[in-house]
Amino acid sequence: MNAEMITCPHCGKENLPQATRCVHCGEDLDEVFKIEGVENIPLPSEGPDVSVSELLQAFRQPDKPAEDKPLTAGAPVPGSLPIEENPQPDKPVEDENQAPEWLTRIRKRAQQEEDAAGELTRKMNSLDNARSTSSQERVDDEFASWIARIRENTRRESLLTPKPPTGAPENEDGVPEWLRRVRELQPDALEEEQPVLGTGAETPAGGTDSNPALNSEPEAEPSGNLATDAGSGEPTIPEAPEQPASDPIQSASAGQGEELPAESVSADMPESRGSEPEAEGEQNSAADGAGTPAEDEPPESGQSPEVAAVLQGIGLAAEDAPVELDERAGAGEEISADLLLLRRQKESAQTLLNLIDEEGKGPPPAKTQRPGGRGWSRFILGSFLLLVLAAVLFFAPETKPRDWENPAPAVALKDRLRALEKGDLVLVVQEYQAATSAEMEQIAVPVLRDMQTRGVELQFLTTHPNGLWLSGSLMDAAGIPAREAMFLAGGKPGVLAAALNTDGNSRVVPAGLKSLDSYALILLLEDSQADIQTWIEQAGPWLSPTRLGILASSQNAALLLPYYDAGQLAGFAAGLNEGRVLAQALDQTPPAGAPSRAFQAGLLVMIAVLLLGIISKAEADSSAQHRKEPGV
Amino acid sequence: MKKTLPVLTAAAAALFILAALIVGEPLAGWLEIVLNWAVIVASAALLVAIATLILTHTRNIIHGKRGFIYSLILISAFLASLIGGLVYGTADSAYLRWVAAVQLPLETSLLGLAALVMTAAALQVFRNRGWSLLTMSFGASALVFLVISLGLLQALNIPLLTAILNYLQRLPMIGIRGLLIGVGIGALMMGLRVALGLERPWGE
Repeated sequence: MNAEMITCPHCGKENLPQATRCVHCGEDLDEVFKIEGVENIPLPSEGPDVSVSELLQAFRQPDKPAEDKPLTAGAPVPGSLPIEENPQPDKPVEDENQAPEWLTRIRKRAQQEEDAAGELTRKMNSLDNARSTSSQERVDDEFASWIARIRENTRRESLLTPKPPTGAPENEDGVPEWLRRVRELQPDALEEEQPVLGTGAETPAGGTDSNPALNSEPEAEPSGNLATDAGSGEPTIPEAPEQPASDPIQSASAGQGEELPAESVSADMPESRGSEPEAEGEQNSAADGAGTPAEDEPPESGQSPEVAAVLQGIGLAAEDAPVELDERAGAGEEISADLLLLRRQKESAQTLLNLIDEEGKGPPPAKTQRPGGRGWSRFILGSFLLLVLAAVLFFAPETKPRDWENPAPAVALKDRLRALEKGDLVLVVQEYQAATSAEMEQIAVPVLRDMQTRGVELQFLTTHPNGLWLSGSLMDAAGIPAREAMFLAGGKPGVLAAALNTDGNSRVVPAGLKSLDSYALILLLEDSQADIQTWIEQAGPWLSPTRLGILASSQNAALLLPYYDAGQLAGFAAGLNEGRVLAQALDQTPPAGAPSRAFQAGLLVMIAVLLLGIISKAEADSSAQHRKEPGV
Repeated sequence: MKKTLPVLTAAAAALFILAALIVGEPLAGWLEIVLNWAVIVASAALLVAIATLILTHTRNIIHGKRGFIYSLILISAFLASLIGGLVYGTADSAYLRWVAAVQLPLETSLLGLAALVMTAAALQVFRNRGWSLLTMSFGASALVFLVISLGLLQALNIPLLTAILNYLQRLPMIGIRGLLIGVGIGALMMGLRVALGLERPWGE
């Protein structure tokens, strides 16, 4: 086996005989495949404008004048060189593997032109050199495995990529579907192979000049190289079924013993060097003739483990769908079945998407026949409510009770505030949101102004970032000189740490914050029940009950009263009304403004909407009863 | 160990806090240290939450996800607030006014929307649920307390009416006391379950 290997002239390592590039260093192995003795033959001095096609035309037209041929006088006449009938013994044929001289020169010419045809003939030359009986079998195996791999890739791609709705096996150009996909998979290879095909068909060994010539005389021409042309390009291998070519093995053996199809393909496929197990079953059939349709059979069912895994993943295998892509007819069936499955999956996906879109929307409202004339009454009722609301908002004077009942918590807080003396330290804790700042400022401003006028020293603390930028407007409204509000981080643990900070040296409380016991009053400005509970439950146990007072929004009144009744608060005022009472008790003018009226307007809207709901429900019930009992 | 360590940590912390609050002075120093740890961990958790928020919205912007414009607004507002605070300081009145000018209308609008939603729910509650004891009691109580909150009836200064209103206004205290008692018992039970390792509020 090693004796058949070729040695790379660059790195000196061994390579397979059909390799065109060294697998170790990547260098080209072209010089390895040079035919001995060919180099010594003088090159024809044809003009640069003579193409290979013209040369081939000259070979096929022996009656053409010699002066039209691009070859020199000393060169052999190509037209007189039929491979079988007129072997020329004077040509330098060294052995049975050696091509005739005219073919060698053509290949040499093609090599010089360095086009795709030259690439093809170079590979052919290398294969000619490397071919042997033992290597032939291996090459055939590799060819078969390569075919199987292409089919697997095609099948996998066809299963994993969306397919056109029509499953026609061939398009209008007669190109099979599977071939089109192979070309899509390897556009670069196709671009490289297209000129190869065109030029390769012009080689004399191709015997066709072009494909029409081949089709017109499929049996007459030696088809050894014809099969080579058809099989030289990787994507063009499956096209062989379209060509009624003769058996390439026969022609090769009849010619120079060349079995080019499989070898040339193998030489083009470096990755086909390693034989694959699934290709073993088809070695014989592939070796018999790789280009015929019947020999394009994939290994066994054509379903490798990888493809089976893919099919299993998309659910095709479970439905026992035909997945073989063997022959053209079978491929068409497979494609149509596959498309049906994909369409069904697509429809299922669309149905699922529709369900998801409809989720949460609820059933469409039932169209009910509404009695005529009732819409007007509802419109009039709604308009009347809106008019009343607008009148209250814009025309009615603000409701001010002449004599508010003094709520006990507010009175208690007023007493505690009155007990403050000049120089007492009061901690004002701001823990309300921006949305309630208007209401909270209306309640707190009179209290703060009163303490400021009586010389009470104020400190501001907040546990919410909101308090940092809301303190400014509160100080401005109360006429208090601006000062920085301290920020207490940590939530409940922070409040507890501040309560336990008896010596004032805790690291987690702000530097300016003293022990809570040192404050004469801790006045909480709250709009949240959670914050109220945090201070009462975390800091309250460590404080005297007379040190904790609260100014809160109205919705917290119910929560604060139990704490006040339990003796945990010095007092509180919740809401605008109690804030007004407290302000009056402190001889301060409560700030009258939009929040009070807006609050009342909002309450009126709520009342109106609630009444509308009740009325509309009663009306609907009445209508239903009338429909059930028409006589009533 | 992955499950045991958090349980042991939570139980130890809970028992130590209880012991320190009960014993008092002997454990006061240690209690302060533990509270410092708690505050530091909470602050670090807040920073992690902010970082996660920013990363998530930055990822949304990079991948062009649906609604990424909101992520862009969030990131821009965050960066503007952060840079303004770093440059001018959190005590700068101009910076505080700027933030408040953004924050105040936003939160007020949110609260107004909540009021509208509640109003719409009040409109639909009878239509969807029909006449029942629950809906009728809901409607009646809502109407009564809305009218009382208006303050119009108190302005009439009718003694009998005032007495009735005062009585009605103390009705919610019954409910709120029951609610507070329930909350207290629930918190106690939850604390015991966490201390005993029966509850894992931090997740598995």
